[in-house]
Amino acid sequence: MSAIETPTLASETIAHIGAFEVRNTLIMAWLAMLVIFAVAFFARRTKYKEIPGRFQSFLELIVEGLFNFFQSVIGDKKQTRTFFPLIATIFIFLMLANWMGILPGVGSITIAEEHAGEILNLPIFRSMNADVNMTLAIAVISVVMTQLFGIAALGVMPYAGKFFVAPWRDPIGAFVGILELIAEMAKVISFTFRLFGNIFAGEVLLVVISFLMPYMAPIPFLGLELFVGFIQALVFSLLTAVFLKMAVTAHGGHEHGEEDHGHVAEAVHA
Amino acid sequence: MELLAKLGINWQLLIAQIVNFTIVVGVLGYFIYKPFLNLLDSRAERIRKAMEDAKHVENQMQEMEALRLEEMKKLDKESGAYFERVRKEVDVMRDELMLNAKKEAEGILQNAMRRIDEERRAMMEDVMKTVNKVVISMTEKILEREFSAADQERIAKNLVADLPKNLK
Repeated sequence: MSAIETPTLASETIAHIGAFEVRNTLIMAWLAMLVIFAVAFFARRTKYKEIPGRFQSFLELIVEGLFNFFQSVIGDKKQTRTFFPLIATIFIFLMLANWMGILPGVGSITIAEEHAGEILNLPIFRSMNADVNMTLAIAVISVVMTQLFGIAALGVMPYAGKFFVAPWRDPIGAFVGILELIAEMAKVISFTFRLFGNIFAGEVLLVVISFLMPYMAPIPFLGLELFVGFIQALVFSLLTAVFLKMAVTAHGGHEHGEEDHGHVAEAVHA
Repeated sequence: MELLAKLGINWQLLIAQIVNFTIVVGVLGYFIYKPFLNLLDSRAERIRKAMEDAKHVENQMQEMEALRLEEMKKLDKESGAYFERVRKEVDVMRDELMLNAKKEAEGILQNAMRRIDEERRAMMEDVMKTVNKVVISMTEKILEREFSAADQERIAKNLVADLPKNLK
């Protein structure tokens, strides 16, 4: 019986473009982008008619459904319209990449490469979010955009006032400000490793199940991975939406509203 | 740093993924979100306007229906009054006609009575004349048989003298 080959934590480098490493997760990201570009291309060909065809109806259903869902979370149509491109793209891109990660051939089509005198079988395709680089990239975008939207909505000083409070005026406020600052940084780590952990664990699970019982047994787990892929994309986008809403809400001005959003965030975290 | 290396974090790859995501946001935003949200907004606006128009038309229809009912009521009232007036006029005309007919009938009756009287009178005159002639003729025959010519002439002259003036 051959030994089980579990995926490594780090993604594998398949090729180089100069000094740039082309990793298998990056290839999957490009494939996901290709799918999205194709959909965008065909969406443009529909000419956005008033009386839609099937494909346009399908796209309208997705866009409207997502918009209404995020609007129900954010509570304001104008703000939802502003945040929508970011949060909807997070959801669509992550979910598509997660689902593409369980396609046949992903992880199983390999190339042989010699590494330190040893022949390694490197998968050409690997789930995009099983790479910390991708999850970290989106987490950074999410958190940075949250700060930028907050500054744009409130102004630099009022927004900074959330984190920096003079200790001689309000010692507790100053301490809470520091905690808020740490929490903002923790968001990046939380976002990154939640998504990475779930998708990587899913990969490992599928490999182990496929190793133990190659026929039929992995099917329920594939269904589970579809569900996990959807839920993780939803959680990522939903948390981003909630943090965006909290960032653009004046500090202390709408304590009740913030409290509500805080509960939502906690619930989603849980 | 060792942990970062174990996780395979690569700054170039990180930036590449940020760029990838930004491109995806741009493409989806330009080709899908913006046009579809605008389309959905314009459609919602059009539906809202169509519903408002429909409501407006419905209100107008209700107003028109109310107006029609009012007009119908007015017409009913007017036609009722008209029929009442016509009925009265017809009654008056009928009474007039009856009166005229009665008068005419009375006239006809009077004419007929007068004519009957005249005819009766004429007939009586004829009868009288005939009776007279018969009487005269019988008298003449009796006189011829019983009396002489001179007696006959004397009796005839006496009789003629005794006759009522209208029979002479």
